Amino acid sequence: MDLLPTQEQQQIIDTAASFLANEFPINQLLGAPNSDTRVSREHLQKIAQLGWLGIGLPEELQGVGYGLSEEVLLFVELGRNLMPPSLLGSVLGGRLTGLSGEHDRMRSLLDGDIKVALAISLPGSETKIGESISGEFLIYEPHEADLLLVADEGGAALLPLKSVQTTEDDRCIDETLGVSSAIAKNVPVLCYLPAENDNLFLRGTILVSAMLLGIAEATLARSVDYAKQREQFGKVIGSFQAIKHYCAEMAVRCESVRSMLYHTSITFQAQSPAGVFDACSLKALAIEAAQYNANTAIQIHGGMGFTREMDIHLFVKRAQALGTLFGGERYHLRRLLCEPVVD
Amino acid sequence: MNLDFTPQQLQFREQVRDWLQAHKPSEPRPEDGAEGRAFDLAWQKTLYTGGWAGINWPKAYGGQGFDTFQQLIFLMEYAKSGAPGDHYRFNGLNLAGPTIIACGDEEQKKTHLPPILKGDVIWCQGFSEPSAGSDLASLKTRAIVDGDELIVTGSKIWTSWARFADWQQLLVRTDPDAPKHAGISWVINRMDNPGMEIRPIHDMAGGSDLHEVFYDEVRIPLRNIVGGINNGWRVSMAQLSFERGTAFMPSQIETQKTIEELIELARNTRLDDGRLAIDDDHIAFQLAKLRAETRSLLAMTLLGISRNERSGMPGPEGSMLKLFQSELYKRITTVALDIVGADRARLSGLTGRWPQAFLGSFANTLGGGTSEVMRNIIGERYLGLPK
Repeated sequence: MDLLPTQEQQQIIDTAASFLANEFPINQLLGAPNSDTRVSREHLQKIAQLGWLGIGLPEELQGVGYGLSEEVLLFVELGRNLMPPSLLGSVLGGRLTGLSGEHDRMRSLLDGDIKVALAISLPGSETKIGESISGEFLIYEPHEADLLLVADEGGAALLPLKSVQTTEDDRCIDETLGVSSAIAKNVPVLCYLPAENDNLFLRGTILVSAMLLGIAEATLARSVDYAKQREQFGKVIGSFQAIKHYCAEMAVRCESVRSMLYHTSITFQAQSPAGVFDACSLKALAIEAAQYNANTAIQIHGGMGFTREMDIHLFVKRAQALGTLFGGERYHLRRLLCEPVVD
Repeated sequence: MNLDFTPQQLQFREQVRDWLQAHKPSEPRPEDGAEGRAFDLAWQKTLYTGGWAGINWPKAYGGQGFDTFQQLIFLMEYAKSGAPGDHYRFNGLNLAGPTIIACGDEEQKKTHLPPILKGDVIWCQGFSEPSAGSDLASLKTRAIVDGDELIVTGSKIWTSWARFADWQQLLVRTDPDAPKHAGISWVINRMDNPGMEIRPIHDMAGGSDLHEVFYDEVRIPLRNIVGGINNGWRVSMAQLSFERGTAFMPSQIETQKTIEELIELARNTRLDDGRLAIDDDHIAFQLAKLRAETRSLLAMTLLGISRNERSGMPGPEGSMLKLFQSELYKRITTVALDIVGADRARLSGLTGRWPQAFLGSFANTLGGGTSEVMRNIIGERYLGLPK
């Protein structure tokens, strides 16, 4: 038993962190209209060359051959750097096509030639996801996207974005992401993978939780740095218990979610009965941690935190957006309560 | 990253399971103090005879010298089996004993360690004082050297099970002129020493396991100082060197049992409006959240153990787990009150344990370092924020 990353896994973290810090510094997002300009098709191909999009796919499917544990480590770094959720679309799309035997399309997805937007079911929509889909959806990052990925507990489907009727662009709470809504009535899909073959909904749940942990950790780190520099009443504010205790609460949330993320990546990959229990627990905790930490970071940064000059607000907004993907807090809590006890 | 146990570890688990199943007491621990003491000592004797006493103690002192994973497995199986908790045995096994192992001289070890493992003695602690709570290092109980003895005068507070204990690990000020951390000594004191007065404190939950202890020129031989005079602060930290992050495992499993019992209770309890408590959204979401948090407590414990195993040093997770677990337990008991509704007013009957647990839960975020002290430690030692 060793829950910590191995040396090889640590290398994945370090490589991802330094690549992202160099290629996609977060200050690019300050004043940028949306993510489509930040991760262009060329960028996506460059990311694909690192093997990231197929990191968790078995080698026989032309993936890198790692498992979910390595995948979550990468997604923590993507979340920390506010990389767009369409990267998750590519990863899940690659898996979906690979496991459905659509090898050509999978290759294009893993090479970054195709961009996959994620869509969620809108409140009140009567959604059906299967060989065809119906319902009202909110699409994140519709611009330049080729395909749309939708998933629920029953399964996951991939379809051409063009095949659904999209409305005009909405404004997203996270201004770095575009959104539009779409209505689908019995639109046939390119491929559909039932959850009993591979549960992409819960895999997405776990990977979004990883991104949320990235946000929780990034906002903790920024808050601690700021609290060590900013002076008031002749002292750095980090010496005041009011600030120190906020930071401690944020740190505990990071520790709790990181532990659960590692644990879940193992139990889910092993298809143990604890996998679903863990995934639902993880998502609820990750949403709470990301939102608590990002929101508290604004308070710690004071008036400056409320400005667009600093990047904290981007994390607050991203935490809200990510929380909607693959089931919100209430969804997963309700589901968790229905699960049998695990050891 | 893995959660696997080796075949040897799995075999060990079977062995632990079988032994506990065959030997754990069938009757519940008596509530009465003197009977509780007798029960605890008898159980410790059984563990000793069976070869399970002192799982983290070195073999040289009669312990089992289990590695981290054997400790983890033993503690998990122990807690799951429903065998008795440490209760009065806690101090000797987890604090005083390990401190003597780490810092005691040969004579002290030979005299004091075997009786703890054999179930002959109970130990208690004399650290906090009326004016030295969170600020423990400001303690004032004075010890003056007189020949080959210390003469101790002062008072201690919050000493658990003092009137049922034989020995005490006591912190005294041996140099009032030194900086506050530097003038303290860690000494072994007999609880029947002349000049001592022990008064139980009646707590808000109806218990009286806590005590005030007064010292009026109490004489303690100098040879009972452990780790050298004026070195007590360092000595009091030494038991940490035995801590492998496994210490939280028993209470983690207790918490898991408690939340599952509470979910079961909610599935069988009707609210004022006739619905089952579990069908109330507010209650359901709170229960689910507590279930998720309890699950992460297990993961945090395992991550802490893994970290410890790699670095050989206790990390920050001790303070985080203490804070997380004690606050979580408090929330669990509060939700329990919501579920039992008006029955919260009754401490007897089938649901009486829940309001009783609520009353007791306040101790968790106070004893062993308050939540505020834990947050200071996390802020300063883990995050590097200034004092």
